Amino acid sequence: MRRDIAVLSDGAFNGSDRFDLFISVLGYEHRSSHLARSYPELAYRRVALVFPQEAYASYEFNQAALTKLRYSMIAVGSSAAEKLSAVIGEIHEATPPRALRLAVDISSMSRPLIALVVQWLQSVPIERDVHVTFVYCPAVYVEPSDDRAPVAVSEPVTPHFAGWTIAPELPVTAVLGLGYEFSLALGALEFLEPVAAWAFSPTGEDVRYDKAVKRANEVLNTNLLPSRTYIYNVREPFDCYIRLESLIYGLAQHSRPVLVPFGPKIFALLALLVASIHSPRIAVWRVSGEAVARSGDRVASGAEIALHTEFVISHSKVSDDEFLSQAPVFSEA
Amino acid sequence: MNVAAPNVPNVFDTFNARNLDPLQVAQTFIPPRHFDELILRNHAIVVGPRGSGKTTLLKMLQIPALKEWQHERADEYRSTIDFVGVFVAADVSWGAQLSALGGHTLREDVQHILGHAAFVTHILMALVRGMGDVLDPDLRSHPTLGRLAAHISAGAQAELINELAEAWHLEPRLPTISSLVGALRGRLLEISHIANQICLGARHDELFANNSFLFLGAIESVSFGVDQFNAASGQPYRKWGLLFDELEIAPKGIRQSLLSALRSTNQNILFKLSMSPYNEDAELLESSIAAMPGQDFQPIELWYARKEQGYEFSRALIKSMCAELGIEADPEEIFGHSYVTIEDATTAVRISAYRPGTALHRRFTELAARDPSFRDYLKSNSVDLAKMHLMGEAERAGAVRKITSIVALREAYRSLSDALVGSAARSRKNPSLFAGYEALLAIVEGNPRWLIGLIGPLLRRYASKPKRVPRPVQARAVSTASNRFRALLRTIPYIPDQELDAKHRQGSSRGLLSLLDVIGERFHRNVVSDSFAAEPVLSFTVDANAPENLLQALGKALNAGAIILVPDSAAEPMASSLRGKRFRLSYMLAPHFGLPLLLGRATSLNKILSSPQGETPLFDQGRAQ
Repeated sequence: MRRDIAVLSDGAFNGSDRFDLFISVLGYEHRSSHLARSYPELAYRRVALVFPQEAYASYEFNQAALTKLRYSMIAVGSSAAEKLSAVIGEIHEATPPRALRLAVDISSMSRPLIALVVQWLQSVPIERDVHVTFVYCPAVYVEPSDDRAPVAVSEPVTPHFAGWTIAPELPVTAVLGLGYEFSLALGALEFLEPVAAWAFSPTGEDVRYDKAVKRANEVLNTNLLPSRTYIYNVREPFDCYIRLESLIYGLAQHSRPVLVPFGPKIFALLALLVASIHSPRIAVWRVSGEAVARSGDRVASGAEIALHTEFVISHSKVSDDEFLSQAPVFSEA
Repeated sequence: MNVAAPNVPNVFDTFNARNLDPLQVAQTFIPPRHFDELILRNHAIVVGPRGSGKTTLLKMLQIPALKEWQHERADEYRSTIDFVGVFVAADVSWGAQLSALGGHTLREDVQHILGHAAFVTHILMALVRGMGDVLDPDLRSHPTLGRLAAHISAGAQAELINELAEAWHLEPRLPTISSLVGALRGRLLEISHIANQICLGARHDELFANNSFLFLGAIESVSFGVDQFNAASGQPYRKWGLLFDELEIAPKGIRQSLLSALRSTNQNILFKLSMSPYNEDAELLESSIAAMPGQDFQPIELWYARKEQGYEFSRALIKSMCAELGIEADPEEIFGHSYVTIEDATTAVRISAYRPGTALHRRFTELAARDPSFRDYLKSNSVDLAKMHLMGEAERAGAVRKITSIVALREAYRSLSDALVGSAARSRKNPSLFAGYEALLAIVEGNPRWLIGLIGPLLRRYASKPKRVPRPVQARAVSTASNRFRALLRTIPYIPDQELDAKHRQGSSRGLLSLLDVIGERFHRNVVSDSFAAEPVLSFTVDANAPENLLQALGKALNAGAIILVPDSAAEPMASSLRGKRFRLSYMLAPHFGLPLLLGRATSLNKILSSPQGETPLFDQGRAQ
């Protein structure tokens, strides 16, 4: 089953809303249980995706909190999607026939996990539309860690988001979300060798963060055309989505766009949603040291940003002809 | 935000040619000496690090690029080339897509079959586009390329398309070239559908049995196409050059087929392959070459162990860039001379530069005043600073001239270190150290991407304000280019030791860049802090017992252009093993580390890594002088 994605609106998260299912994370970041603790009755069913290998920093605190709040724990791994599907199957049986309402806290998810959740949502195996509110809780500002930590991965965020093309000869274009990791965005561009690049630079979390992003991308910024840099407010993800989606739509007409979402997780979510909407033509990559280096703890700043979406059962599947029509016209001799 | 067509590169984008179309590549192409070798009617393997121009060279062999090329020698080349270039593009994104087919849930053999089929389809699309190039009626009237044109009547063309379609298991909607390409695109789509179906539980053996196109061989399919086209066009001996960019991105089965095909294959097909220097196929290549009758194979190396080897090409490219910008001044006028960075025993320096009162003399004097080991050097070589200009030519060359750049660098950093220490001193680089035309030439290493990225903006500045580009501006541009290269090196994954747990790896990690930093910083200390050496250690030899993970890291550094192979007399085109080989750091990293742009002496890599803080001399005292 394939679902079409509609991104509808954003706003401050309304904690008095009630959902059928809330998907949270049990990880090392203090903020990973922030929403769960703030809104104990948020949903009929509550699930935490568990990173067992992250049992340090605030992990035990989060584990105790989520256990007390009776969260079902699902280990992140190959059977996680199946287990989530089983949970949603139970909800499907227990609720009246209407669209299911889900909330997903992406704040402490890794980019690959957000990717897996988005991919799963696009194929939830029930005959109902699913309305999903993604929630992002920015963290209190922390200085960037050692800028010399080695990079462990430069690859598609998951194999699914490697994308596919019927025109491998088309040029690659890159769209970056900027973060405060020193020169990583620049390095990603050098690695991918795109013919042209665009950047989305975040603001609105913390002035110190804005400055750190600027510092970390100084060399990149001097080389990008100003018209190809867009400053987005992390508290207004819908506006950012509109711009990102229209940019990607344009680029996909004559290139193979690759999205590389550094920076706030909300941008990674937007990148994955846009890539899913234009699947399989858009690739989403990550360049990080997360397999080697441990990040520090993160505490929620208090802001709770919501992005409202719908994953609607598709009645008009993308036809092969439509995909083929995106191929460059070959002028016949 | 401007969603301009991406085929209009901006300043940033001109760094690479990978994604430029043939016409754009032709606009700025300056033929390096390697191009003369590449156009010959033989198989060739172009070996070079990133940015060394492999893609550009191959793309220039396509007919659309050759047609548009404006260069004083363009007609000469066009008259010589007697094959039709078929460019098979590759990039990391396409490579990742091939690897990710089926989302890593497929069995390895199943995944290989699908990846192989996708790449064969990609090759056939390139071949059909090449056929379209020679059928272009405009080509017939081209004065030097017209002989490569083909004419096939509409009926014969339809018959050809039908034959190709049947052999390649395609069903184009019309018997035309464009429909054939369309059918091949449809096949790529079909392959992804098959992968998805298998992921969802379909039996792969049934799907494979119903889709026999999955098992088309690359070489056989291309050979058939070439033979049929040649027969249809009445030119049975027409040559086709298959230009494979970044061969390492192709699936392993394809790589093996191509390397084996170098030995014996269709006489009408030439293979021109581009690869990185450190490659897992090196052994296979060596065995293929060893078995080749007549040695009809040309290795083409796109790097320069000694900086002067790259100057001719770099000068020609700069001249072309100047002409494009309407600049008539010589580069020496635009950038001034580099007065410290490249002087060595073979570089001519005016005798008057050694007289008391000159900048050069002042540097020697100041260093002698603060550096006892330098005074020892002068004494043991009988150099009287007041009379350097009066020394015999040979004597001065042997004892003074060859150390001028080392003296300048040592003196500059030592004076800085009075106030600052270590990396802080290095970060406050003397802006004049890495400025000047000769320094810029050395730093770009004959690498067109680096040259365009570093010197292009400076030339544009000169074009808008025709005054010598100030040295601090040049130094900033050099620093930016160097940092940019370091940013790339940071993104190259390298996990030091898989057996260590995450916590330990983090603590003891030596990612690619940090490994290079250890080497560069140790070299810097040898130049600046250790006892004065007329020929400091600026290169290293990989020890026979170097661990595998270190070799992997060095291989990545070599492919990225961060270290340069200094070949011995029996140089290999590709390095099957790095053990025992000698390397220097790229001069693009020299400004960051504060190193002279010299080859220097070599020491063991083990010695560098085992004494990163410099407790152990890099050479025994007796050998250092």
